[in-house]
Amino acid sequence: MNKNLLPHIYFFLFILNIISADPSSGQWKQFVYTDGLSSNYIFDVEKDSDDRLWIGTQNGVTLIDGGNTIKYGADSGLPAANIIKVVSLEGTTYAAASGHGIYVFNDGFFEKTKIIKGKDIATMSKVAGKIFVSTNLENITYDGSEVSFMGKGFPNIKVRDVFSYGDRMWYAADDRIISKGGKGFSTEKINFPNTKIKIQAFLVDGDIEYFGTNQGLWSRKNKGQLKLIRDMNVLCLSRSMEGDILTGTKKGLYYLQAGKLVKYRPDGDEHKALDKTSIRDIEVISTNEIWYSSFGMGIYLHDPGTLRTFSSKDGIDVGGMTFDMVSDNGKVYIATRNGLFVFENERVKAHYTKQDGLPSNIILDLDLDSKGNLWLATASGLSRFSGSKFDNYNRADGLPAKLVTTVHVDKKDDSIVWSGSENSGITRFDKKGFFTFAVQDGLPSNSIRDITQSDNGELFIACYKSGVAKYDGKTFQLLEEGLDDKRVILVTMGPDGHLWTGTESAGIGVFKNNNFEMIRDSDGLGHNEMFSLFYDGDRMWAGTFGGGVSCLSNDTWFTLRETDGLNSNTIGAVAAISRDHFLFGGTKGISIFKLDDSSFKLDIDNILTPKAELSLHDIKDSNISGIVKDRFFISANPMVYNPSGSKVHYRTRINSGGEKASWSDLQTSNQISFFPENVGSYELDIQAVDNRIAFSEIVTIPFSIGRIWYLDPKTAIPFWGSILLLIGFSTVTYINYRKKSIEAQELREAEIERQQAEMEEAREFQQAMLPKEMPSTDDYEMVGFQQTATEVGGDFFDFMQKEDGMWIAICGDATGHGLTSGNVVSITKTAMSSLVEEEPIPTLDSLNETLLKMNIGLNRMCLNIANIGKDSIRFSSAGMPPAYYYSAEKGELEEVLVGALPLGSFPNAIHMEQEISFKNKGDILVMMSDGLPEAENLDDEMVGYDRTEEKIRSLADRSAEEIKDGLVELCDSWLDGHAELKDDMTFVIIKKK
Amino acid sequence: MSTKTLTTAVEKIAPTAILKIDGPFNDFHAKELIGIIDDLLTQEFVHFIINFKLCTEVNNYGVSVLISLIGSINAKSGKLIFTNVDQQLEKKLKMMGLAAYAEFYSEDKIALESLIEKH
Repeated sequence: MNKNLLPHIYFFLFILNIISADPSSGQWKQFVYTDGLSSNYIFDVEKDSDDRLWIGTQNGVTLIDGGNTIKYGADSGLPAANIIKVVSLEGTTYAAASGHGIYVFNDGFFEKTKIIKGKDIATMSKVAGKIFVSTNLENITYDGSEVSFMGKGFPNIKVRDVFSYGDRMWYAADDRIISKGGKGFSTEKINFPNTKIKIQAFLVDGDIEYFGTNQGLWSRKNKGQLKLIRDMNVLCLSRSMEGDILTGTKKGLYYLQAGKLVKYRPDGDEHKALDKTSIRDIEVISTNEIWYSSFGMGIYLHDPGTLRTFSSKDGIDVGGMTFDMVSDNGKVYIATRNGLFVFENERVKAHYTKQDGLPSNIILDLDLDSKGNLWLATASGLSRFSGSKFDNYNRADGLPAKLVTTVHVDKKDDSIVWSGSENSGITRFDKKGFFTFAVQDGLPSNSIRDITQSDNGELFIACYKSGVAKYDGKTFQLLEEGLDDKRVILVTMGPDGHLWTGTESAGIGVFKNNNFEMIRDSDGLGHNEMFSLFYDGDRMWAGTFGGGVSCLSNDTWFTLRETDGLNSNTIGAVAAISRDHFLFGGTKGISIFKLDDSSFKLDIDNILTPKAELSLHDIKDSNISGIVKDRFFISANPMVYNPSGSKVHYRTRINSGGEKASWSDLQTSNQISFFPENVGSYELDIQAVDNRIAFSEIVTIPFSIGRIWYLDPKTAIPFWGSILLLIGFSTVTYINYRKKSIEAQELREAEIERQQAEMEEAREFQQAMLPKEMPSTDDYEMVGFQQTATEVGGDFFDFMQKEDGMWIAICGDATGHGLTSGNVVSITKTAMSSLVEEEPIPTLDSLNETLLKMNIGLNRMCLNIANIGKDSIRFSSAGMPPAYYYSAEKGELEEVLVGALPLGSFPNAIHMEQEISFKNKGDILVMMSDGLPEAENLDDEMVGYDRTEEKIRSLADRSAEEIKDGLVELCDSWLDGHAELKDDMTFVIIKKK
Repeated sequence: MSTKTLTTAVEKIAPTAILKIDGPFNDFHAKELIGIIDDLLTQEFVHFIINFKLCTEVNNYGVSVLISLIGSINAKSGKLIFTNVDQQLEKKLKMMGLAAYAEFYSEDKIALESLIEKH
């Protein structure tokens, strides 16, 4: 053996020893009481067939239903007891309450079952499609409808744990293992060193049995000798999908590595307490989903499989950068700033540096030829690695420069190797030697960063600051149209044979139809500064400088970052280990990403339509009906549990006519909205997207969108027809109504006209009762005047000549208005005609009796009678305002008031008489109704008796006619043209000639 | 002619009722007082004090109503008293002969005292 190789062999052995899969790596997430759990003291976690999580706690059951967390406790039917086990069987969930029995969940409520007799439940587990329950009294199975006792040979002892693998089952009691064979159950007593050792958990892994006891983890191979692995209180055992034996103990979590228990827990000081916390249950769901039930720190979700990182502590010190990786039959060559690593089966198989013959530890690019030789572009020339030695080429051999930026083995003829230099063009190496093409040969730029090749053999060369050069073996053609950044550093052939280029700061350019179409961060790319491109045949991967690694899968860009567990946000290389395992090389090491192709469930919490809130069940056999511009909101609930910080996103597409539309951009909100713009049948596809490049199943919601009902021909015709009928009916009705209304109006107007005519006739009749002419005598001036108010009033006056030639003047006022008072006047005047010869008092008495007999109600007659003699006037009154007497001799005006009730008031009313001297020329008697004294102006102020008296005094030297005019003028000026005369105004003026 | 409403507040101090009329006492509204007083007459009230302080108008028809009331009250041997009658109204009531059938006082209290004193 070459002694020089010994250090290297020791180094390999060291690497092999330290590099192995650590099950504690990956992403963790803790859920505690403040996250909605019923308690931090957890006994069990169960995931049902609908991907809902049921958590048995010290304080009831918690259900995590995708994005919803619901607690069930005493108010949901559960007893105040530890829920030590939860099992889901065919969609029904059962909870084992310590000391109380089994409860079944039904429609939001737990009800106690009668499937067991005992209450002291040792364990409950799902075995071969049934629930197995062990109590202090019995061991039974329950298939959801019937209870069965265990078969022949099953001892009546408490079973602590059940383990099944395939169709084999083991039941672990305190110191016994009961297994089922062809002839029924058989029981084996396990002979632990002392009888205090009790089995609490049991697991079989191949030919090794593991006994988790209160005094240690024991193993036994092929039923051989028991071996104590470690003395600790083991509460549960489980096997991960990767084959790791996971161990939950009274004090923390462990896994078995090389026959020893190794502690593990989430990184970070906040989880240190987990080392002293009981782990009651380990529920392995998949490679990327394990749930740990802790007694005091809630539950932990662990994704050990999606992203696993390897860094310097794991033996991969990339020296600050990984530049390239190539995969070769499960083996991956990793080019770093710290030499070449060979990675296989998640272990570092080798690490080569200058000491091993590399021309430089800085390896910028790699490629493989068909013979299995690895070609390396290094900072000190080109190198070929055959698997055992490095053949190096430098400037002395014909390379144009020391630094080789890229290397590419020709796909048409792999005896030809192309390499690029930083500033000296592209070099072809074949059996003839090195030949360099530079700008003078038509190369757009001598600064070469990457080389790729199409299926037809054309080379594409990343020319820094110029674009991409296409070389067909004869000439170089510059491709730059549409490139937003000419600083091209990456080229690779992508989907559909299109050339993909990575630029220094403008994202990716995809060459289609002689033009580059750019893809940027706004399109979902993690960052615009590109560092690596890799096409795995289905997906395009893009490592970025600081923005993680992005993946275009199924028309959607995903980006994984350090927050998702990536070793670095700067990814210089991507490679595929297998169809679903990928390597990302970054500044701190590498990450292995496991792609999970299986879709997860997507539930729909509700569908809000303008009319109702629906569930998917409601539309199982029907479409959702709506109209154009209706708003529909769908609340999506993905049944995926991702411990990283990345949120689930959503995308939709609206299909019609049987054609699938393109997916929408990703949205973060789980509230999906749909606003149909056109009439038609649509299918709204909703898909949730987990950042671990996982898709949910597609939920399709069918819609049938019509026009608003009054525009839809089916309903519009009857509707608008009805409307037209209604309008027609209304029009006819209105016309009839108008016709009748007009007729009624005409009738009313006719009636008013008739009444007005009648009133006018009454007025004319009243006026007709007044003297047509004033008496003319040699001794007296006699003037009568009447001005009626708006209605027919009750005033009247008259002059009647007696047989002796003397005159009687009367002035009256019937109370009230209208025709009734007019009638009273008529009666009075008629009766008066027969009383002309009587004296005033008998006249009034007689008129009073006459009116009383006529039963005129509240209407009465006020009347002045002036019986004019030769030298005197005998004056009497019944209810009239005072008369005014002017004595020409004295030059004085007197009020003549003879108070008495109006005529028609009471029988036997007393009337009095006053004799007034009327012998001198110029003597005046003025009688009047209350029209003038009670005339009111706009301020409701009456003319009053004082003003009336004063006016008469001022007119005493005037003629009777002038006195009358003066009084009328007084009234007019008082009313001032605005106020109305409220009552008839009547004067009778007698002046001695 | 005013069509404002007439309201009548009745204060009962048996056997006297004080009626405070507010508004126009005319063709349109005066009759309302007949109903009120007729109703009171069927009870134990025989003396009536009509307070004109808030009365805005008394026309001939209103006086006719008062005359009618006098007839009804006299039939029950009761008394009718007018209070708060202004000068113009007092003149009207006297010239229409009501002074012989009713008494005039400046205010209700005095009128009431006179009734108590006399009866």
